[in-house]
Amino acid sequence: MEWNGIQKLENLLLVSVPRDLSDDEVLRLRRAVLQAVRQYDSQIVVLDFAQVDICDSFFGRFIYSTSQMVQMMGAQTIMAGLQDAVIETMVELGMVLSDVPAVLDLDDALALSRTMTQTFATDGEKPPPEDGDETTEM
Amino acid sequence: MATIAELQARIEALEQENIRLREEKERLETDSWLFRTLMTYVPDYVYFKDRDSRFIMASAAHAKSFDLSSPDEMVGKSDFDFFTEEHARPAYEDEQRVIETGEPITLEEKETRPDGSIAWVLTTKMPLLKAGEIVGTFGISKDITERKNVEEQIKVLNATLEARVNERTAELAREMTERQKAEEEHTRLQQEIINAQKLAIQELSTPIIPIVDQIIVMPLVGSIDTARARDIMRALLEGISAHRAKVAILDITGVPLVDTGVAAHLNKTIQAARLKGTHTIVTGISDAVAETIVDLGIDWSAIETLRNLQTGLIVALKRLNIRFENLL
Repeated sequence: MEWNGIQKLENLLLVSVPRDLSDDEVLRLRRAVLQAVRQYDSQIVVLDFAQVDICDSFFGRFIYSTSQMVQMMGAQTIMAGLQDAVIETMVELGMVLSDVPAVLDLDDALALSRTMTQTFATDGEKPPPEDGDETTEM
Repeated sequence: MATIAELQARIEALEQENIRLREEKERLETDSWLFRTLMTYVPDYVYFKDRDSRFIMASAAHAKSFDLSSPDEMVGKSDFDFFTEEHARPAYEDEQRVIETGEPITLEEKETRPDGSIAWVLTTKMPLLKAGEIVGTFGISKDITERKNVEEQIKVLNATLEARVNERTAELAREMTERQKAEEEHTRLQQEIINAQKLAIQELSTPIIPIVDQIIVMPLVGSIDTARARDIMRALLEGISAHRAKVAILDITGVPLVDTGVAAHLNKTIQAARLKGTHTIVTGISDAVAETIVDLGIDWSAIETLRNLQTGLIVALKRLNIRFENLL
């Protein structure tokens, strides 16, 4: 399964999530992401939601399950570029995903990933469990 | 040769006859006088006509209505001589019908004289009988022109009145519509003002103040309901994007009451900010608010709360590794 939106960048995997995904496509995207993590041995997966303007509970579960699966494979997920309307819906639905770090955009995602990589280097291969409130620390 | 007795009896009989005749004559004279009086002075038009509807006799009033000095001038003439064809023809036909059927009729007739004047009469026409045979018609007509004119006038007045009423009704309806329009316009203007003020209040009540690079402060004043909480969340998310904020300080010094509802609203706002990578510090927790929150059993342990804005700012700066002297 090939997705144009998945790009490898050093130890990063940059996933540009397309808008208007069907439930089926969401599952295929998740599989593609996991395959790419294995293939490129990525340490950090950045999910870029800049294009997504609609959110439902299925989509919320997709983010959560993907981040858990990625973590099981020894990598860390970062959510980037969530739009205000999507955030409002997620909060209303109670999908706050406090275990998954979130940043404003790709710039911040890259900055955060650098900090994380440094931490990995000092602490070993396994990334530390992320606390929701500590995500912005640089 | 008759006897004296017989002759005397004859004289007696003749005298009796004479008295009877004289009495008869007197009676006839009285009748004639009464009839002439009637025909001369009655204001109505009384007439007798033969089978061809020619006048045999008419009342003086009738003759006067034709501008004739004596009813004798009418004898031998018919309606066709005094009226237009328009009236004379149906009148003639009516009379012929009376002669044929022997039934009297009563009707209102419109008479048009050759000079163009119009008169209305109420007429009764009856068959004229002589020894059981119909020899013509007779009738009596009452001039009702005045009554008719009054009726016509009333009709015209009624029509005028109705027209006026309709006109006034239309005018009133128009005025009503105009007034309604004006009212709608007024309501619309009021609504516009209300909306504008609402917007102004909304902007005023959810201010975003960028104080240091990556730090924004949002002082909250007044009570927080569901609608306001949504406005606050939206404003905060917009502010984070605009100023690329890493730390947002929500100062609730001006919120008079913090209950379970307000706490839940603030929780959602803080969670939303986190999804944009922003850490939120809630400041301005007074002793009373702290007491209330704990007494209500609200769990805010995951939220960084501080007593005032100054301490909040110091914590935020520390968190971003910004030194005070670097700012100066």
